Amino acid sequence: MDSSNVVLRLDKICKSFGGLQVLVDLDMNVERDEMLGLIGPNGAGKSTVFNVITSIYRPDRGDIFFLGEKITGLAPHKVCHRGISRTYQLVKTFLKMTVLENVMLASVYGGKHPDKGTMERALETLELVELTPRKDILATHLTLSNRRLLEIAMALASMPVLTLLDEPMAGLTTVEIHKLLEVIKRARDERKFSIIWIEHRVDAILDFCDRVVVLDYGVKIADGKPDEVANDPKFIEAYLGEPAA
Amino acid sequence: MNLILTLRVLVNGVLFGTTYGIAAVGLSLIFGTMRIIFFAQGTFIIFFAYISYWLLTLLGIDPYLSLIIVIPASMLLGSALYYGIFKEAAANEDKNISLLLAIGLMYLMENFMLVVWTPDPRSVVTSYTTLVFRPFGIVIPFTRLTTLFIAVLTAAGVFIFLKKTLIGTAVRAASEDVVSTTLMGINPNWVNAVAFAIGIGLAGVAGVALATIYPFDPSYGFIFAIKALIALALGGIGNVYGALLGGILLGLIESLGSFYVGGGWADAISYGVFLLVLIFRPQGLFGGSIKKA
Repeated sequence: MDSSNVVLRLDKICKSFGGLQVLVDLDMNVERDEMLGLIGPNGAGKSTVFNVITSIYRPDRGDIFFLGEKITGLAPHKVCHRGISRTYQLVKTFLKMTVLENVMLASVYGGKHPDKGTMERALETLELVELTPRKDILATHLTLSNRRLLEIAMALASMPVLTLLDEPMAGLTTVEIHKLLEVIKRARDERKFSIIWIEHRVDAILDFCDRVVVLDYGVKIADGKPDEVANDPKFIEAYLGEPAA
Repeated sequence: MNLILTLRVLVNGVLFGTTYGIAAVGLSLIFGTMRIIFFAQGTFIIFFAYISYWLLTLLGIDPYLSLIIVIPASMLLGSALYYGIFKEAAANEDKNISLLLAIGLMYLMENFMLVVWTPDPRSVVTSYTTLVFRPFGIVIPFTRLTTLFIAVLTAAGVFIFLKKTLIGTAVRAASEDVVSTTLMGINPNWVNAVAFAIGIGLAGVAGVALATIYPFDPSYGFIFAIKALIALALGGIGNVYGALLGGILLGLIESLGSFYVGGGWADAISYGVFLLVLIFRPQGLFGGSIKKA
């Protein structure tokens, strides 16, 4: 068992809000440079997984290990310094600041990488998502699709080991989705990092991810290669309902 | 003649309003990252007015020269206040705790000042206190003109800091969305402490400026906090640039109100404007559209 290849490990994570169990004994691994898809019906607890990993929520039970170290309960900004960045379902860029300022912030404060100038890294990341021509305009003047790209640039500017993408394709047109996928693939080829990707569009996840985890009511019901998961009866049941008797 | 009188009223309004303006910029910065109205701001302004008074009467240090001591000292005090008093509360989602702390701090400071300096009004009197310029018959006291100069310089400093430095950019980002700045690796305590340092630093500047133009007593702090709050509302809560303009506008409203309507009416008019603005233009007079939750 090659555990050194595991970047992130969730160990029996439980989280409830009020009486509602959102995550139940969730075990999950992410390997180095792996693209892991996280899918499940609405309310399955996908975003909660992200909030637990980034320490916005503290799990009721269970631990999170990142690069072999326990990060449970660490302050969110320190989790980022360790090398985990994320994007949001509802895009969160700083609208009153320019595109470059947004990426600069992530590049300066997101991690500690003395090897390269922060400005250089910010510009390079903008180049990667093809936003260089728009670097001096305010984020509020970007289209939704460009704002998503900016958010991805912000997540990448800190040179993370692991990036969490929360429904990056929501609200985009087919053309825009193509561009986004292209950018993500290119970034991953150039930079080498792991991704956990939450997405509503199961087809995209099955197409692009190395491995897929399916959540249903906070319980992991499937975990494996896309084609295995696609044929898993539990997965089919969660998405299509119980088969007629 | 009448024109000159009007001009005189206008100039006075602007000159006094700048002090409200600097106070409001401080409020705006602290509000930006902490999401509370820092009610103790006015009391700290008065506190620094007393410090300037002491430096002059006990050590013979000129008020304007005392800024060299007051600005760094007040900034240090600001960050110490954050780490000592507000840090735990800031992490709490319920902002009322921080707000109540600010109000508690305000009364603590006020009573402390009542004991140390008594309720009798004090004023800083220097050789140039009565110095007056008379361009075109408009009376401009030297101290008020200097206050305007200091205010403009300070505000420009704060704006450049926010716009051009990385720390300033982080403070701006935090005032848009604290949680996402945290997830980008920015320590929220650090940003809050910076906002407090600048906020109290501005109180230091405003305090010294106020001391040179106006007699003050401990209870004046609360009134000043309310004035700064009105300036903040006029300029748009959370809008640092608007806060300065709001202060100047408030100075004008008070000055015009007391001259044309009557001295007793000045405050009533400014509170009336405060309410009207909050009802009809909650984003302030200079802001764009407001985000509805």
